[in-house]
Amino acid sequence: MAPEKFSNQTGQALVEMLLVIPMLFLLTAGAIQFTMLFQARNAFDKACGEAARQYAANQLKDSSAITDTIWKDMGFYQSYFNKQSLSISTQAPQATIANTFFNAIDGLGPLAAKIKSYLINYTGHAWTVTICCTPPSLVAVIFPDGIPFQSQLTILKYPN
Amino acid sequence: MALFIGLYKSGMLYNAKEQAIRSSNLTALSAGAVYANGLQIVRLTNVALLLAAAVDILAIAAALEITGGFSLIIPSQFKDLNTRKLVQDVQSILFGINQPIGIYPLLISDETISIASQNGLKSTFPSLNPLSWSLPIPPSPILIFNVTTLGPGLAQAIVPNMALKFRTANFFSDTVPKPKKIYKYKSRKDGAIHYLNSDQVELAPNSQNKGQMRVKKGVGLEGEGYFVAEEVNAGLSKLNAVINIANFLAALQLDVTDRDIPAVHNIFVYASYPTSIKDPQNNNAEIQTLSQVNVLGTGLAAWNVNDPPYQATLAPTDPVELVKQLSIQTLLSQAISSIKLPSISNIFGTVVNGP
Repeated sequence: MAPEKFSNQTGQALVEMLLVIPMLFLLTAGAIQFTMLFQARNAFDKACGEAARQYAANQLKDSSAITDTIWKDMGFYQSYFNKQSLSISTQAPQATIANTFFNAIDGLGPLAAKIKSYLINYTGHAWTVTICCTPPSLVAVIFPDGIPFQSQLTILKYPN
Repeated sequence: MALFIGLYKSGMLYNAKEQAIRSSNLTALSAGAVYANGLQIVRLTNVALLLAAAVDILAIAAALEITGGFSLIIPSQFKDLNTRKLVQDVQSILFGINQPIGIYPLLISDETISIASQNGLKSTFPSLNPLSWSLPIPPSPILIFNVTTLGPGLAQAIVPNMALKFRTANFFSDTVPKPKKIYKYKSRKDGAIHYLNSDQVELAPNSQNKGQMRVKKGVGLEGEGYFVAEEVNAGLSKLNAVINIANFLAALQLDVTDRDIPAVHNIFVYASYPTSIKDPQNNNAEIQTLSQVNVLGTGLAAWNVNDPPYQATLAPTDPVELVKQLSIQTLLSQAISSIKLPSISNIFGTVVNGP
């Protein structure tokens, strides 16, 4: 009888497990890669903050030095980013209150400018740092073109 | 799906936490930069004060005619021009020394609040509503100035200050006793003379002398009840002479110096960082951060003007600093949660949206 032929359930658990294990593996790998993505984002933010701090301490002089420092500070997570996509756009210096005041009296001549250079020797800097993240393989299925990250940094630096 | 949503939320919160720390660190460094610039201005004004003192000394010397040629240049009717006072008055107003608040400390606050908002920190100060007479609760960012030396009381540290004072002339003379009280009366008991001040005597009028004073009774003074004589030439007695010199030196203001020994110049920035992540009450979650910056340099005296400028450095996040910062954060949280400022409706007893 046919029903008897198919009533043997030996191996059913094995088949179910074979079906579920790849799903579990995908889920676990996806979770790990998802976490790595956040870690990469975090490493990028940290590197940006560290570069800004060094710039404020007069250890970095220009945008290219900042770019190099950001890339170097990302360490292990460099493999998740494309170095060519790292760019910094510098905004106009912040209109600080003191600078606004002294800019207003700049018209008084070189003496006013000289006094300004002695009295107000700090200035504002603002950057927008962007980079393209190349996500790990499973996440890359969702984001084939990569994920753009952006970070805004604003700081006052002394001495100018 | 639930797993990935949880992962996404926790990942976003983790990133937001790091961004909040970075933002408050950059804001604190900016505050330190403005503070450091201010300390260099202190040095420059001290140079101006030194020059003013030189002018005054020359004028006095000319008036005394001890310098020969100078007396021909400077009219002798000028005794003390006291140009120092002018410079000291400017320093006092600019840096808030012996004043409730100074112009420069206010500038530090304003610049820092401006930078805080540009770094994504919550800035509630511009939204002050004069009609409701209420401050934003909690205000953000809160700046705490030079808190280390002020102990647990944060009230003074919230007022912008630069931890400065005028150096007084008694700084140079440790041998002169510190001025306490001027002794105005003396009594004689068993041949010994006791000097007393106004607080230690009381009126004991009699028919011959209605203004007679005696040693106060019941406070354990030597020779209580004995009549006292007023020190007519109090300023000439040796003791009073020394004390008067001490008082004079203590009152003689020189240049601006650090309020604390060793010098302490630091700023804490306590701020909220808004995120787009919803909390269980469906409000946007906010992260509280605290950063400390120390402003370090060689000194504020006029002769330090060519030294390297003051530098702002972030406080290390070692366990000792963390404990200190956490205690300040707790104090602030308690203070903020207990603040209840009256609104205009509370003050006038009016009912808003009433019938």
